[in-house]
Amino acid sequence: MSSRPAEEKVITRLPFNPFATRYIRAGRIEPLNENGVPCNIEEIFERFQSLSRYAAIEGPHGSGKSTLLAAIVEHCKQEKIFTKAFVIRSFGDVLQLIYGTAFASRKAIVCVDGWERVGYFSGVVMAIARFRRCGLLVTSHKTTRLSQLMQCRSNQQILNAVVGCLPSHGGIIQEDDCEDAFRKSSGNLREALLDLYDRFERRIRTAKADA
Amino acid sequence: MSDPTITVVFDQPSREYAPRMPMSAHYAMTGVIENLRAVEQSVLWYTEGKGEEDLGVHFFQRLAGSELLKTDVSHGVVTVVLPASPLSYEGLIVKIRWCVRVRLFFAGGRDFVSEHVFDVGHVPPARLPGEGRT
Repeated sequence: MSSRPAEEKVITRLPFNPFATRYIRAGRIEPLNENGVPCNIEEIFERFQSLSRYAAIEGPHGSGKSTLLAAIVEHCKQEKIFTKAFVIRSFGDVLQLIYGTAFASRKAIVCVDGWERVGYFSGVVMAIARFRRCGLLVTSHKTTRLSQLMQCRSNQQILNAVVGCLPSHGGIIQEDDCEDAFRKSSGNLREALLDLYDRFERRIRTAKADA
Repeated sequence: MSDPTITVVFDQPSREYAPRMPMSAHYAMTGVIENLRAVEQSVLWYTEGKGEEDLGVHFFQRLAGSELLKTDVSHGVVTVVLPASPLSYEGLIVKIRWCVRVRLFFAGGRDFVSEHVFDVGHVPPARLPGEGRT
């Protein structure tokens, strides 16, 4: 929980851009369902437990998989359930994941963001997790061999709801902008928000120059 | 549980400082500050924009345990001499911001962060490509 600097009055600087990574990254935004309503994380976690704690969150790029995973990790933290979270960007991350899974405790849940990048080693990680009897929850934009916990999808309603949850943009971004950004990004919410970031920057600078 | 409110008053009301200049900020907490386990005060810079974030801590102080009991944590002063760089910058894709951050840790793992931005240096905001050309 944090008070956001966007609410501060900075005398000489330009307004804060509410679409910066700082505000839109996974863990900062609440995961929303297809109606733009916050997901029931407790219910999702119960479903994960019922899937023997081996499951995948699937969906295309920018559909909210990482956001949902971050919310589940946060839920586990509050429930004092130990998690080991990994973001896979390189081969080094894959090695860390293998090592981390090998030493995970039985009650722990290994959470992996970017499972598709684990590649051939995914079988190894699954085998180690089963041997160690720890949980495994992954995000992937491809179909996995794990049970599907949730299929994430994006739509215009979700983007509008996300924009509504961010610090105020002071009316600089209109509904048309959201629609245009969503269309241009082919439904990728992350890309749409970064498009709105650019629009915000352009407008505040243009307004300042005009003033 | 309601969040506390932290107000920060800078010794320069404009919140603009030159590099290597001393900076002093007085903070005060109001609201619920029961079950407080630790208070962290820091002066730091961070990047903000479209990409990965970076940060650098210039000053850090943590009050916890017996030290916390001895001190009246409802208010305090952070005084530092600012470094020569990085300077505050309003870029198009990346910005550099300096702030005083007060972070409260409560029993049960809950925390509360309050950041108060100030400027170091006087770098003008970046212009849009093509803007200002004659």
